[in-house]
Amino acid sequence: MQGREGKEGESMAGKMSFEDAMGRLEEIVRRLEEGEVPLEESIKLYEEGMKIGKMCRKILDETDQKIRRLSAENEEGKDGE
Amino acid sequence: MKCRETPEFFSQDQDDIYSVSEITDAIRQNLESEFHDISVLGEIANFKAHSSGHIYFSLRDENNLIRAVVFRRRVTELSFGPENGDSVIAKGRISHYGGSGQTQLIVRNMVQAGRGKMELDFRRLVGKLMDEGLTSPQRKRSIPAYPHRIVVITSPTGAVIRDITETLGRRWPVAEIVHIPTKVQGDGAEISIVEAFNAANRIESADVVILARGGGSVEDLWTFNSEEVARAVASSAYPVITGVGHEVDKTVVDFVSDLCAATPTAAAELAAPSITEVRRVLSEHLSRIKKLYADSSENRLIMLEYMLRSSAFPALGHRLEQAELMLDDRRVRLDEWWERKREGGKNEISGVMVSLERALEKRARSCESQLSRKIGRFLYENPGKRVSAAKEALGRLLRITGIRTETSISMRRRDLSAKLRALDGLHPLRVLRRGYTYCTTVDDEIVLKSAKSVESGGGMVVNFYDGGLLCRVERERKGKVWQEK
Repeated sequence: MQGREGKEGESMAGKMSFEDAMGRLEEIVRRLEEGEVPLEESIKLYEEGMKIGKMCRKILDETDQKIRRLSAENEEGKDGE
Repeated sequence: MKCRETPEFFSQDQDDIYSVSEITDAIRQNLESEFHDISVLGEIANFKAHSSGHIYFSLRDENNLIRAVVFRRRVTELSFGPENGDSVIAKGRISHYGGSGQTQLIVRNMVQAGRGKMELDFRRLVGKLMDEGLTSPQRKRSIPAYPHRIVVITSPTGAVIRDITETLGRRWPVAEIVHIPTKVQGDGAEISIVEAFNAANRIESADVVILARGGGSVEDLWTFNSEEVARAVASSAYPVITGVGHEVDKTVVDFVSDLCAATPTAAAELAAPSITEVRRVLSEHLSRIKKLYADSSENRLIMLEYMLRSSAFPALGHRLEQAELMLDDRRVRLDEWWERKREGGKNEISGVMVSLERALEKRARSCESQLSRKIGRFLYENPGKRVSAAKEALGRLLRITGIRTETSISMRRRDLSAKLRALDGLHPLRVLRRGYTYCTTVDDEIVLKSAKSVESGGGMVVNFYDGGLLCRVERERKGKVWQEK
């Protein structure tokens, strides 16, 4: 892990954040548990839940800790990376 | 009169007159409740270590003094050996002892004035920040549950950055760590940390900042009690977790940070979730969604229809409706066609039959005349052949019947022969060979059976087996030749 220090990391920004995804999953579980969701919507919720879940798993499976060092004196990215 | 007091003097109620003990108690209660937890800066004078283990002294400044005591139990906890002339900050409570009428400071803890000054500065800064609302619980931001970018502000050397990256790598390797190295003690440390926060604020979409430093003396940690650093923490664009020093150390940044951890490692643990736990939660969510979805499996057929008709599949739904409409239309048209056909069917069929009949009749007549012509021509052209053919046919027929007839005749002949043989012995002419004769009239018509049949002179024929003799009767001879028995 330490060996990767200083390497430019890939940003997760732009995708749905993991926190949003987990929050949405909880929401979907809650909605489905209420049992008052129209059928059509429950199908959509199921599909969305599975999709988000797979996305979350993918994020967790692709873990490869990235560490970069940023010099406080310089602007981000200007410190010779 | 003994009583010379003015009425005004006694006009007060009896209850408003204190005894000495009462007023002493009142003073004690007021002082002790008002000053139960105070710090006093002063110089030690009249120091006396009593044999009981208690320390007695006075705290004084330019104009005044107050008596003070450190009881034995607290003496052992002092971080230094106090002496006369020491400038100290004494922390404790005011006690008023009625027996001697003395007011004194019961010292709980005491530090030397250098540190005492720091302590005061610390308290004043915390108080100031508190007054500004920077330490308010309402101001504290929550730490994102699943951070994807964690900024770490700490020294590039030492165990702290290693402990933090290892902890984060173990718990939540999902996150990227951005380490902003800083000085954490000594000259320039404060500005280094402030600049680090400025840099952190410019980082795009970070989730949390960890400000950390390992354990050290109060002086070592003093950077984190500076107003500049505290304000940098308070104004951070991202939530800040502080992990400075050991468990017991409390610095000003801990008051203004969003979350205060006991140690750098603890700060890392608070910054990120455990990936194992997150996986478990995620699996639980998914299995619950699956189960909840499967629970409604009795509605699967309805679901299918919903899917087909849902706005998620507009084209399918539309096509389904179109197909149904088209099917209905065709069904109607087929019914109509069938109805028409059935109505017209009879006429049509009989028409066909008539035509067929006519055709057959015509064909039959044609065949007949053709045949007649052919037969006629045949007979006309080949009469001999025709006759011989007939003969042949007849011959065949005769042969067949002949065989049958002959078979029949031969059978009858054999039958007859047998009968004739039987009859042979009975044949009347057969006895002629044995000498018998018979007589008939001359015209052979009648067999004579009596001697009286012919008169004398009449003729008769005597028949032998080989011919007859025409004879004339001379006379009758009397007497019978054969006598019947």
